[in-house]
Amino acid sequence: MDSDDSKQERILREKGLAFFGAITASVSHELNNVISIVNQTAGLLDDLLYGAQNGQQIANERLQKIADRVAEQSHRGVDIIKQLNTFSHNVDEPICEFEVNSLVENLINLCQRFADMRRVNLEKQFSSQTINVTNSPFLVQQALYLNYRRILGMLDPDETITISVEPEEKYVNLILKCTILDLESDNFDSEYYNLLLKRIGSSVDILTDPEHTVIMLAIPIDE
Amino acid sequence: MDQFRVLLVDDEEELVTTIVERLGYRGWSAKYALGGQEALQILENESFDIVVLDLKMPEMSGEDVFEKMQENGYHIPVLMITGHGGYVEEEEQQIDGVADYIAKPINLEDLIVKMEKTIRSSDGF
Repeated sequence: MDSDDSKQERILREKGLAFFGAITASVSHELNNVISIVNQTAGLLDDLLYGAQNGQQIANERLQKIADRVAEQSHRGVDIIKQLNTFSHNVDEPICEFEVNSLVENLINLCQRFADMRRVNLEKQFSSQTINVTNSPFLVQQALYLNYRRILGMLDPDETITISVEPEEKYVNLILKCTILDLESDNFDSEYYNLLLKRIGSSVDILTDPEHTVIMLAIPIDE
Repeated sequence: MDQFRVLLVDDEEELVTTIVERLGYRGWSAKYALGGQEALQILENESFDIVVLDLKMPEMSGEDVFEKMQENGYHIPVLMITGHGGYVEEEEQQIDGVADYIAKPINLEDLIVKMEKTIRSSDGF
């Protein structure tokens, strides 16, 4: 293996780990919030029980609301864990068959928090048809993620990113649409990005109209 | 016992409202804000002995809020909540002027101890 190949493998390995770390760190923060709420709610129950033991009454509706809160946070936690589990299994095989809408949805769910932190709206438009491709799910998600974070970093609060999946005959397009007119490239890791595109056999088009910028990642349907 | 006034700032509404309620049972006068802008508006009109800020919040981080408080001349001690389950990133502990830190999930009794210690060691005590 010559030094260029080694360098490319190293870049993909390091950047892949960084991507994995960014997602899991974000998820751990969300799970921490879920646990914090359940923890404090348990403490609140203790407080109310202590009050009840000292003659204070607890209304049934109050208890019901508390029970509902715990159930809601439990569901929230389960959803987060399911998404993380799906994501982590994307590295089981370097190349495998996967359904594109599900892969994109998984990434969006895991990255929702980044949009929330910037008060940016995230809209999703999936294809109604099942789209199976054979490729690297982990690398495809990274390519989409890079574009997502690139755009997100430039949007103001209350602006919107629309992510959609649109199949064509030989490609499936992963489309990010937003209101930015000029994409800056200063902080964009082009070397890593181009490596990803090459590995997944993807091309990218950037289209602009007077009001929007559209990034279109074309993933081949047949590898 | 003095009744201390605390402003809690966190975007997780169910978390912050529960903590406020529980602090109330323990003799604290506690109020909450769901974000930095709301917190700064409250601070314009009300006085507090301590402000507890979540570091990671949408739009305005806890650090941003703290900086604004200093710019606006609010000399209120600040406790910063970190969200990393015990792992506190180095840069989070280098915010000049923040009195102390506490990690999520918060133990309420630990929070109270830190708040009381901070208030008593600040000017006026």
